[in-house]
Amino acid sequence: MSRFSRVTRRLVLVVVACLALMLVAVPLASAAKKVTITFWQAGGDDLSIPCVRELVREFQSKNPDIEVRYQAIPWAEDPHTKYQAAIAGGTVADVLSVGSPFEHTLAAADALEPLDKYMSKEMKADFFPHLLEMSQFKGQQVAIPWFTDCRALFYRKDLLAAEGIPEPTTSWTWDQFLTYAKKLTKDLNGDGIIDQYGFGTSGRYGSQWTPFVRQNGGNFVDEERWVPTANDPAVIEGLQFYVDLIRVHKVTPPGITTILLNEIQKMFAEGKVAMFVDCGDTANRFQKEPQLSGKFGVGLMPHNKAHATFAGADAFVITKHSKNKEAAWKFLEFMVSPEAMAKYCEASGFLPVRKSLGEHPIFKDPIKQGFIKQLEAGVYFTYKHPQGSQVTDIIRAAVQEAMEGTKTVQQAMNDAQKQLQQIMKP
Amino acid sequence: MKQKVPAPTGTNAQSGQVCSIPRAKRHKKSIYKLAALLESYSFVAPAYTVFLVFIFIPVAWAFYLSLFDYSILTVKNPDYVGLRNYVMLLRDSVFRVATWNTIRYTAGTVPARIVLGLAFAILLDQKGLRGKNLLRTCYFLPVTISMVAASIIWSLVFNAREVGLANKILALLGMAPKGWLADSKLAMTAVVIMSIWSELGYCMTVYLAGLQGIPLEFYEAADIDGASGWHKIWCITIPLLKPTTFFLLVTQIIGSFQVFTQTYVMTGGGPGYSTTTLINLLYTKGFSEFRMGYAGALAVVLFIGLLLTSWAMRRIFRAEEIIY
Repeated sequence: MSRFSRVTRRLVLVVVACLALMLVAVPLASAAKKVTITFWQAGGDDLSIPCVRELVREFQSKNPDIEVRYQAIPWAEDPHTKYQAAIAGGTVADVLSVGSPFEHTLAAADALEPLDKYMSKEMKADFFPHLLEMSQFKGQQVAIPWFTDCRALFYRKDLLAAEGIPEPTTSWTWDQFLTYAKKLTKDLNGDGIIDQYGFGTSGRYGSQWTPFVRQNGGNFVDEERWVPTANDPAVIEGLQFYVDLIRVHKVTPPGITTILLNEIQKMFAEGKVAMFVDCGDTANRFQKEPQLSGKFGVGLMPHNKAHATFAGADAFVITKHSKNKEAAWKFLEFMVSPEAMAKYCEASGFLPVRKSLGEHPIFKDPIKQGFIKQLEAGVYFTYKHPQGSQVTDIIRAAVQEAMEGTKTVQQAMNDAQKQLQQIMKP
Repeated sequence: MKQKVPAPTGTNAQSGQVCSIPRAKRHKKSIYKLAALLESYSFVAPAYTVFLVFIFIPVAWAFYLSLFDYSILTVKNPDYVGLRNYVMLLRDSVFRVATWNTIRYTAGTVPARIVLGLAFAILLDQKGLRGKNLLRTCYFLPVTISMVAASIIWSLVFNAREVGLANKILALLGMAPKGWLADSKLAMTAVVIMSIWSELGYCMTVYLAGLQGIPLEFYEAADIDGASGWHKIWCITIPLLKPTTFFLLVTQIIGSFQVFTQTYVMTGGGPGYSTTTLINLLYTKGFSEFRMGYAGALAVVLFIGLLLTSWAMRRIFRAEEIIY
């Protein structure tokens, strides 16, 4: 004892007293403090992000005890990979929006809070059932859809009218589609070079060629049993129709195997492409372009044996990691409420997933109606299976080979089938 | 690496000497040596810590992961699968295609960059050349452009329609337009042309630096002997630039094996698999299909391949010291 001076002893006492005070004071202070939750959105653009910010502010003014930290991660920055890294690192947000069916990957890793216990019966009944089912993992609701979106046929009203072609407000047959696409492919100035193409499409994206396979009743894999069916006659026939558009009828612009969608969009805006397939946010942007609005329409995809186009949905999840699940649910519930959903869909150009919004005036617009009609006519979703993107990669390469003519459709699909059999071996 | 440390090379090496010194003294001396050793290690510690944490541990971790069926999400309990990822990789036909594409890319870019880089360096090193610095800057500029931006510019150049610059040039020559990036036979050529352009300035600059190191006496002596300009380049410049060439060869080959951005942006690996390179495949496996173990195995194979290539080149060039 004698080794310590009185001053030192007093100093120690003061420090101990301070520490004790802090121990008591910290919990007291935090009890009065707000609950903070974080929300990460996958995607979002300059039109939709301000809307989400506005909704977050509205939620906070209604719930002064909850603070929401919002961050949008553009698709170009690969939000799904970031989510996985954050989950592995234990730093993930409380609420995430994901591109469906990615919630299945997260749920398989036991990273999501099941949401059945939070949802009321009335709430469940108001969502489109096939979209709710999309977000069920092993019988549990692991995500709640936020908005949906499908690809539909964009067309230039002026170019169709010039050829006397009726607008596709009811779905054309494949024969009609082909006849019209041929009529719309023209050399306008007589120099021997085509300057207007009937149909713009690209070999980069599965959403461009798969609809034709599905419209023919085919599918690259049997989703129930998860076995490959890439060289089934129905697949070959559907793909043959698509490849013939490019190679035989030549109604598509050159460089089709690797062209980017935004180049097709540009050609469409310039009137060099009469029809192409795209989704709601593009229509939303086009409507805001003075030289385009009113000149284009959105109609139904053609059909053969079935109606089909690619549809997707974004959904909200609550992470297992979240320490404030009640507050997170409150926020989620607010974001999918009919009012908030209508506001977001209006800003972003996507479609609502609640039945009660079907009659909402903002969805009466003819462009929106084109998408809604297509949703009702028939859609398909991406593969939920974890190997889904691997399957798409293999099919993409095979389709590009067939488009280019290095292999026939049959050969390309036979080879793809072999590759798929290798990876899908049980 | 250790030899570079400016410190006593360790106590073991000198233990023979040490034995003749009395025990107490010996003790004192070894403490002194230990302190000196610690001191020098503490100087290199910051750099080595960064190296250890950001390079060595991740590399070792990739080796380890390649033995597991691992995705980012199953980080807690991945299945140990032994060498299965490697067996699958060697059976994967896409892996073989990607390896061949990477070799084609390397064979297309590296020699062209080195030959052209040297040619431009010699041309721009002429005495009395006007606007030398401006020209040097111009040729170096592509190096400073971000690869993504450059790739987008060049996909416009190689547009498959008549509006693309490449097709416009063909039209001037009276040739039919080509598909370029959309044509599996030409896509890699287009990527190679773009990649030569983007790195040429770098090779040129390194050669320019090398040229400044060659003493002028050699050329003066050659002048007296009546050597022609070609002779001087062939017999003086090129042999004396051997270390520079070796450095460029090694770094360029390693860089070429890691090509990713150009093919990712310009073609997405297509059409078919015609421009899928090893790193494109690795990225797809790891970050789009989330098969980290498989991607790890691919990375290890690539690492071993590069190690062997670098070693072989060292043997060929035999690192002879050139003293001027």
